[in-house]
Amino acid sequence: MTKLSPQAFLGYAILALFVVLSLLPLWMSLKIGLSYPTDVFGDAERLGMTSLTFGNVLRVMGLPSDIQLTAFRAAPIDFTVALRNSLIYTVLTVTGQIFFSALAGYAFARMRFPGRDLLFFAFLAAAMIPGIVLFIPNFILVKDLGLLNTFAGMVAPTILMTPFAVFFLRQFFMTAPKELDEAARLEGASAFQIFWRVALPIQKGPIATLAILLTINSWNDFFWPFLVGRDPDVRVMAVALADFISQTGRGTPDWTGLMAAVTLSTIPVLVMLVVFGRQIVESLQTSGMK
Amino acid sequence: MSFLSIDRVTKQFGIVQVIKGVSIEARKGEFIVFVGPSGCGKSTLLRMIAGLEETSGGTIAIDGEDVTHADPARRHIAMVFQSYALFPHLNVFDNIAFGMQIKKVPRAEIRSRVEEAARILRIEPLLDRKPRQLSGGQRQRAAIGRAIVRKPKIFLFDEPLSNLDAELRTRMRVEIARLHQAIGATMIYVTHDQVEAMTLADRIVVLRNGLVEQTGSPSELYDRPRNLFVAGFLGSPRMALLPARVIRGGPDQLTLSCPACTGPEIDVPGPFRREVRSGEPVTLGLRPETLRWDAADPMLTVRVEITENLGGSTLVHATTSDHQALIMTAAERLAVTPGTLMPLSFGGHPHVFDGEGETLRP
Ligand SMILES: Nc1ncnc2c1ncn2[C@@H]1O[C@H](COP(=O)(O)OP(=O)(O)OP(=O)(O)O)[C@@H](O)[C@H]1O
Ligand SMILES: [Mg+2]
Repeated sequence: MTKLSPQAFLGYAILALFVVLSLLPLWMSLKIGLSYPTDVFGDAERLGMTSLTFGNVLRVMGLPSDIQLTAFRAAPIDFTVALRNSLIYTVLTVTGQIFFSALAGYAFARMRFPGRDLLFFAFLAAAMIPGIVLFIPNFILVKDLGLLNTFAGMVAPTILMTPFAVFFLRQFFMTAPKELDEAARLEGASAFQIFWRVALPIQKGPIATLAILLTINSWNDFFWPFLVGRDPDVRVMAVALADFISQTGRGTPDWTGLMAAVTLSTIPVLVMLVVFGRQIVESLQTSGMK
Repeated sequence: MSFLSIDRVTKQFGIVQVIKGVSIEARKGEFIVFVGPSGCGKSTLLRMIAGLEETSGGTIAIDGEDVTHADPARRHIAMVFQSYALFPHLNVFDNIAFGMQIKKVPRAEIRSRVEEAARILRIEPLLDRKPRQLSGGQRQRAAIGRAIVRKPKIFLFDEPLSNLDAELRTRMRVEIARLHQAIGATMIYVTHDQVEAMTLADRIVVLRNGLVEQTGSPSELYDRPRNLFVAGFLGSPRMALLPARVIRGGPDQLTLSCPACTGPEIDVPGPFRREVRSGEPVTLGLRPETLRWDAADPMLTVRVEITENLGGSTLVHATTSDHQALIMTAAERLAVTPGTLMPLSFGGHPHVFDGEGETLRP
């Protein structure tokens, strides 16, 4: 066994502390979500499991379950549908945003057209506007277009592009060797073919990084979907969770059900981190992004 | 009729004129080399032929068709970049096949043509490697493969060998010469390296500052450089240049006084392009291989600085009595200690340039 130097030992100790601190909330929600409602208050201060049941998870997913809460009479919230809606919402915003932002970023980086730089700075300036200021005009627009409670309305502000994504990708397109574009051009590729077959594939790393950042953002989006997507058919996880809490009013929340739903909502993000974790770290390292 | 015809082209970057009116004609199958100092516009001119840079003035025609403002794809040209510009995400096969895939050439034909190119370049075992898994020379071959597979009308090379080490450069130089013989295509080749220029070219175009200084076969440029610039640029080691003054001019013979020379005057046999007046300042140009050790009848005496033994021959670096650098190539092995005074004579017809740097030789 190799011996750790005291400095390395200290380093690992600090890292271990932070690992515990960041995993604790996840563990607590998992633990409570898998407990019987009657056990929640009995051993709240204990870290270990006292009972184990999947009843809460099944219950919030709208499946038959051995746990029935009699205190609530509100219509049950189906988190399976919410999970599906979150997936649709996230996939639409992330793929749309990346595709269109890549087009725009590439154009800003490589193509020459009048007003290019002016347009780009206008874009950057737009990034300075706090999102909250845009909610009301966007809401009115979406409402007037009759897109309330539709996925179209929910993804409308972000699916085309966002200043951040455009800026991020433009930087990478700018640093790519120009000769590659020129070589493709000499081979007879059209502007779109150059973009699609050369410029885009060589940015796989940065695009994966961006996809991960955007996925986490979109998955956690709350306020905008809350404004325009309250209908159960389109309601995303974050909004459904909020509705779930408010259903119980001032009384005691349905802790086990809530935590089961929270656990459910973190699973897709965790899966993504496990699958792409290595790539995330690598692309963050190679891109020198903070 | 010429295959590639460049007629008084100019190129303007903003207010800077980089190419100032260049005309070049190339026959089909000719190997043309552009040489010149850094920044003289070689790459720019090549990129104008490819269509990667707009032409500001003049015309470019390929195979009788005016392509001055045509899209690069329509010029049927292939270019090998200094950085190779291989697509890093594609393997060698797909790199070579890229253009044909774009044009939707049938798969079977793509395969056979890629394999043929790979065979010519001896990279068949590498076809499914990614560029980063290749050595410099292999990347170079892959890049050339991508160029030859499309059977372009003209090949353009922009310093294709400058990223390779000396030995590989020599080998690839021979390969390019072999390739040119095998496929007989028209090639335009940019280089800094005058050995590449001398060995590969059918015709060399010497550029300086956006203008053509001289065009001609390698031996023409070597034997009859039009001016001091070309004389100094071609030939390795460089030609020694000694300042002198005309004592007596004449059509068949010049009598010069030169500070570096041993005697008060030396005679240089003609012919000359024009009458030279006495008193005119001139420059004497001596190729290293025309100098020889001559104790009996020396024309100049130099101080040896250092000798380089190249095995069969020796390079002698020396300075003249008026502190001009001079290099002599001796065909035999010479052992001279630095500081030795060495008597030299020069045979044949040395180059003579007038006060403007233009040659006085016809
Ligand atoms: N896009 C550009 N914008 C402005 N000036 C340019 C541009 N490209 C080249 N130049 C200028 O044009 C001149 C010629 O450049 P070019 O690259 O053709 O030289 P070169 O002969 O290929 O030099 P080297 O041997 O160093 O490659 C240089 O002075 C360069 O600064
Ligand atoms: Mg160059």
